[in-house]
Amino acid sequence: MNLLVILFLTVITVGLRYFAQFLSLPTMPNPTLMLGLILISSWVIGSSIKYKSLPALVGFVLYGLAASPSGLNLLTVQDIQSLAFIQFMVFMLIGFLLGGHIDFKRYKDLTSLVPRLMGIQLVLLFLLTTVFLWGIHSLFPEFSLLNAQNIFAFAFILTLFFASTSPAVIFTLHQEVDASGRVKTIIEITSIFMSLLILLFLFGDGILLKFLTGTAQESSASHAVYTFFKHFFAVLMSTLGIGLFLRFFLSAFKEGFIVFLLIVILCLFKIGKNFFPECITCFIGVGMIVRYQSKRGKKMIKNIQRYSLPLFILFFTLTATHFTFFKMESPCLLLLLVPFFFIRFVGLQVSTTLFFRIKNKEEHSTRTIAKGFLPQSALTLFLLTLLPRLGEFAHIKELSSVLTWMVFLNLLFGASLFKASFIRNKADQHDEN
Amino acid sequence: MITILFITLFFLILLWFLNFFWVRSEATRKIFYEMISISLPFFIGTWLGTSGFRLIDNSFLLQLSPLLEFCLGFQGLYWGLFFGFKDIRYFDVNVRHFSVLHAFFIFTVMLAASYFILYLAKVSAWEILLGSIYLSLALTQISSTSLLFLKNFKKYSASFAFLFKRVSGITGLFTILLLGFLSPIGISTSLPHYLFNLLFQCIMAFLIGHLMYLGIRRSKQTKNILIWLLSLLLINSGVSYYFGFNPLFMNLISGMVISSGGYLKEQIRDAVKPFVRPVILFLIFYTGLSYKMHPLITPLIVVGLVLLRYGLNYWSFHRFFSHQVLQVEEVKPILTSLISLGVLTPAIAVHLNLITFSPFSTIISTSLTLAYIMGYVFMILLVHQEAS
Repeated sequence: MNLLVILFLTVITVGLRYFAQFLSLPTMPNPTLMLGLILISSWVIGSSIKYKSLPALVGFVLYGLAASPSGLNLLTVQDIQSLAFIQFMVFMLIGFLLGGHIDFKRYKDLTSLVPRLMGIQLVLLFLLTTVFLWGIHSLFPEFSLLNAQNIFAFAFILTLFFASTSPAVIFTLHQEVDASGRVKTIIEITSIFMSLLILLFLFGDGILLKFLTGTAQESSASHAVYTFFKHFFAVLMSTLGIGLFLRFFLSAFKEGFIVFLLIVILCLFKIGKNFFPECITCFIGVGMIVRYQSKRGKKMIKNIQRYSLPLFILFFTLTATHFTFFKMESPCLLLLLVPFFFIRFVGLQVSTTLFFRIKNKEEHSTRTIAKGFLPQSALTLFLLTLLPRLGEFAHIKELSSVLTWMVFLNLLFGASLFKASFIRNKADQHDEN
Repeated sequence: MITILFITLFFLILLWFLNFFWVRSEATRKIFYEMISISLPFFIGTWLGTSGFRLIDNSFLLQLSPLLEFCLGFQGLYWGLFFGFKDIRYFDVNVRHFSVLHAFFIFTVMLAASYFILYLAKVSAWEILLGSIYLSLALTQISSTSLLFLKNFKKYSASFAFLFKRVSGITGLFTILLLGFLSPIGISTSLPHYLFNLLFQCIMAFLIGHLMYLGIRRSKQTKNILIWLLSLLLINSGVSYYFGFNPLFMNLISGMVISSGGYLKEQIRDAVKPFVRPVILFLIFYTGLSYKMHPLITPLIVVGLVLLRYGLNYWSFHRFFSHQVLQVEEVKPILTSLISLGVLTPAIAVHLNLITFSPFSTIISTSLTLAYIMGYVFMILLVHQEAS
């Protein structure tokens, strides 16, 4: 029935749009109509798909892809451009929610566990990637993307890419399976901090990565470090300023808090839409500050969280509209997906399992925790936009396309695998009890 | 920039005076805080907008349009959900009659007064017509929010509050309906064209509302209902944007359709309640972004029309209740609550701004928002006077 309703709505909205164009009504392109349509259609498709181990977000992503300009073109390029602020707002609010979700008191025992887990994941992924790239370099010298100088730099970039996990997916899935407890906490906090780490490397238009690959305009290390710290300091100061400002508003005008938050997002969009990684890092920090030791902050974040489902629907759907798969000159390079997928899967699974084996902890849930890192973060799409700017390399488009495919597949299958594992783990625990 | 600096300083001094001399009781303190919380977004908007630091300029407003249309549509939907076709039937017949007569009376006198003010300001004929209609619509609704601050006031009467909420609701409904009926005039070239536009607008709102209701019927959780309602808001607002219809009116009709369906009525209402306050504050913020004052129009609206409206409200309510038209029990009206402007005022101001984008509409919307804020200042003075 719901599917029929959205079909009718789609016919009405698209029909009205063409009717308005046919009548040559003096209106500018306006995304409100399509925003409403994608919100409801995405949700209906997501909830129709949702079944046992298949999460609703698979539906959101698939609908986004279908509605995108490369799909049915329901959302035109113009629509997506005019939705820039809405997208920015959704990203910032999710960043704020993620930051506000970190409960420092609850995570006290994880202060040593999480950094070490992140460390072992990064090291193993780096080793596997480097070995693979060396192999490629030795076996296929015509693959001009790589040379002996930048092989480590590319291995490092790919490691960051592989290590990224999606806190937004974890957040959405936890609402679906009603998760609580330590497993959820470990995955959540590790993925948030891993995202923060990746964001650090994207500061200053990825100046550190550009320096590593030798493509920075000024190739001196001091300039790269100086630019990085300039951005880092700006983010730190903005986070503190905005965080304290919002904390003050929350204590004085509880009901209008969300409007002040929107006003701050508006200002950031205007000033810093070109500094997206900096802005989102800032908002994760702002969330932490608003929540930290504040009952009102905690309550407010819980309230926003209660109404956050539309935000996540828009987040996944709009992210999926950005999946543009380039036309490949050498389609055989698509085969790279297999080793990349394998490296990421093995790297994350083995490192996590190994870590908990050594620590003798979480034996029952290790597999579930490891699966929790499989969904890939949408932030990596920003990392991909940086790739072509790292130099004039052949096959860079192909590599971007392969990596885009990888994010897409990991979002779909990673989330499903994690949900299935989580449900199985819960059932096992229930049986044991 | 100097004007904004001046007006901010003036407002700060006004706040200081109020706090120092007149904010004495709990009622006045509550009104005082309310006044600060509604004026803050407005002043932030003026500093960030085109007259201030130009951080948010006209080119950026297109990006804001989904949010704005959402906020405008929300006001209509909220009214529709709370005043469905069935809900109105349950109201006392005397209250219904009084509400409609009162709204019509205020609208007519306000129309004449606004027409006179705009005529004095020597603006063009089209602007006089448009401005006076919007001004009178914005000043017609009475605000039941004001009662929230008067709970500890010695003249507070629960019976009056009960009746007042209904009167306020019906005057709001009347306002949106009038706005909806008058809006298609701007996009029509002849009477049949106007009727066609009005009918098409109603049919579309009814159809979309009904489709959404079918979806809502299958939802059980509040978060699912919310998604249907948000989409309804966005789709209706988008349609109204494309065809030049009124988002408040379209969403009102869709809201009434959903409310009349009767399924999960309370849950549906609860789902939208948390948005009420942020929506009003955001609309006020928007009016601050495009801020403009006129040496004659602004003071005459902010002081003259607000006081005239209070006088008319006072007379009408005093007459109705003293003649015991209700004939059930004697209800003492809290006349202090009649001075503050209704919650639809910012929405109507923003709608005028959106349809014309002219300096004149900016003047009217700024004046209306200032009048909305000043309503609370007058209320503090009245409460203080009555208490002493």
